[in-house]
Amino acid sequence: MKENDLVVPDRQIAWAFLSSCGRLLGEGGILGLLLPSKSVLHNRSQKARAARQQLMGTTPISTVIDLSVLRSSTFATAKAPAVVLIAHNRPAASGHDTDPDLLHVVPRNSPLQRLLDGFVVAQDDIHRVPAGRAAASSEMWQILLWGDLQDHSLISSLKSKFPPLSQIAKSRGWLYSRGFQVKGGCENDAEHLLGMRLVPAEAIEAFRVIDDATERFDHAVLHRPRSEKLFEAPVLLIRRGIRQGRPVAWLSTQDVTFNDSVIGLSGPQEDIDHLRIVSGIVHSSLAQYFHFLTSSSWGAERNYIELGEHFSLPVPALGSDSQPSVLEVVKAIESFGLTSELQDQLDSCVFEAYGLLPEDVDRVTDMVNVTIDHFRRGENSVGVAEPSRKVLDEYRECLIRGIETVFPSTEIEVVFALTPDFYIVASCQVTPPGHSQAGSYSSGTRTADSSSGIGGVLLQAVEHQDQAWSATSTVLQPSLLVLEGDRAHVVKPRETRFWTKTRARSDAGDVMAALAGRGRVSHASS
Amino acid sequence: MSVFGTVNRVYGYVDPVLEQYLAGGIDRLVPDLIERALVKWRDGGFVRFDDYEANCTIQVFRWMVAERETNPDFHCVHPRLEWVQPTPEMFAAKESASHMRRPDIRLTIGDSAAWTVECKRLKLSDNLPRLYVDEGLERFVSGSYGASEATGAMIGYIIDDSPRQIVKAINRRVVEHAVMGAGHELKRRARTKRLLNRYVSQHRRSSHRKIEIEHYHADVR
Repeated sequence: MKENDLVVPDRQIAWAFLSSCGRLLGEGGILGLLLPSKSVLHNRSQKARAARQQLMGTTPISTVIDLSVLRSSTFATAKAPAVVLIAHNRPAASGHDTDPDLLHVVPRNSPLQRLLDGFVVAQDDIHRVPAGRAAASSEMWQILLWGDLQDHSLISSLKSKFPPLSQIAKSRGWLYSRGFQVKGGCENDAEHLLGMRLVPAEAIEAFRVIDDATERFDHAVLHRPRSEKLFEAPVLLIRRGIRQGRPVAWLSTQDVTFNDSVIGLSGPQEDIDHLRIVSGIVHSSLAQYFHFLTSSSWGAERNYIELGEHFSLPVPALGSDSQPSVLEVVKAIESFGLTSELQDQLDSCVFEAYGLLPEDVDRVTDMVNVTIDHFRRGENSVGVAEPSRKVLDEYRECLIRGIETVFPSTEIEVVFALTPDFYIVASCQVTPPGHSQAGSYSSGTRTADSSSGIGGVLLQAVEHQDQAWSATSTVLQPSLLVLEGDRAHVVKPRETRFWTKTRARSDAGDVMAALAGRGRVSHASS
Repeated sequence: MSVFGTVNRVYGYVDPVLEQYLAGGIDRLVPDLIERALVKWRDGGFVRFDDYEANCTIQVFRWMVAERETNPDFHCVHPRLEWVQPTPEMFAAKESASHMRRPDIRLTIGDSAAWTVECKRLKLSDNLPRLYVDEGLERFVSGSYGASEATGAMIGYIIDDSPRQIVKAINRRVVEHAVMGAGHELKRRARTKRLLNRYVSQHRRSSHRKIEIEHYHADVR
């Protein structure tokens, strides 16, 4: 290992073994490995990142199957979630790209998965990841566990535009750290904290603390007492664990103590309104979105956010024009309590402060309402329930608008059909200017009549997939784009998570690209 | 690739009239976004940390993002920077990305349509015209980049010498290159009002698939 200058995080012999595997793989050889996903994909220490980059650089990994979502069902007695890595050392003259895409696959829980008691993989959960991005991004795999490449782009964009909270805290002289640690072997003097109010982590809720008890700090010595300044008001107490699917915090205007299940952010009295703004941002749907997709634990293993992850949140410069509205809403919440209306107002103000586009707002909102709900409630989630009429109408509107923006002169019509076997078909007819609808112009080999064509085209597409699909323990939930003359039929499972506004925008891009003959098309029925 | 990679998402056939109409629109989007981003960068004085390639590419990317955000026509196009996570300081040209791997830009529409943008510095010395061909254009022609794509783009940052001299040097190398040769040279695009140094080159790959490369030479001297 030393000769090859290989990094081995946490002195784990498994990593040392893993690092050598790629070098031993002969030409044409295929390798499959079952590994703990957190250390291989999600850990953020410098050594872990370096080891991951090294692995991507030395091992011809072709597929990553992240089983984190099914951590409690795949290996019921294992504590750590698992990942399957498949490496394929292709012959040099195979004609493939020198920088090929990796496949990232996420089997999920759903009613279908429960029925089948096997792995269910939706086609939308198979991501093609450019190797360059996979090696460069420390958060890529976490983002793809619940999101997609567009989520990675949005998060990357936020990081490019706004400094992390840690940088703002440093520039303003704020102190942040986890609270005191009682056990650990050392006995350091903590008398300066004696008698101060002690706030337990579980008492912290959104913008408030539920415990009015007068518990007092009573340890004379601590393993890590932390700086006295950390406990001086005003101090924002951020609960390390997730509460009801979101990070929560409370701004204390009195000196308080707290243990290491709480993260404190303490600043001078004149910065109290800035701390209020930070508190508002921490409670926003945008922060929820950011942390859910980037935290190494939340969403993958345990429900907490690490200190460094909290302070990696990009934050617009405090005092900018759009932030007074965030401050006003936070003050209203402090006075009247958090209501759904005030939460909506807070989200709107935060979205404005970050300058999010409407499509980004929908992306964040869909992640919070559908995906995080799916994470929390599994097969009982709204995400896997049948989409309502309202959801489908919003999907249709977004799909049409997405195409009309680029081709304003086209006529677009979208109709839904419910098929048996758990699927919905959204048939999108696109008519260029100067042509009338309903197949008045020739499609070359047949007329564009959905009643006669769709059945045959779908059948051929499904047969084509069946031939390609040979796994027995795994079911593929098709997510297809079937082209038929002037129509594109979007075929996806009858679950809300596939019919969100975010999906509609992505599908609009796919429909345009596919009808324009760009991208990957299988001519199954030509 | 595992069994997952054998499963396609898109099937069927498209009416040729519709395909031609939409392809014209889609194929205009990407070059238009690249050119508008370069013009915005130029109008701001080509501000950059230094002439290092990554620092120029980050600025092009920055202006692509800005153009996309302000122009709804480009909302369906997603620019992505490979290999590098820029910081706000890099966007503001106050911090160098020279310690990072040289980035490329990839533009996507939907999940399956993608355009690779290769970026190179240009001047007559240091063999840069040759490197533009051997380590840039050649990758598109050989299929190392975008094997399934029919179009690609290259951005050259002219840091010294005249654009005319540079394109001549590039074409000399194209003609003598083993996998290209005569007929593969860069040809000047019809002059546009926005950016003058635009070229196009057309190539037939060994796989017999054609690829057309748009070239944008930004005179950042």
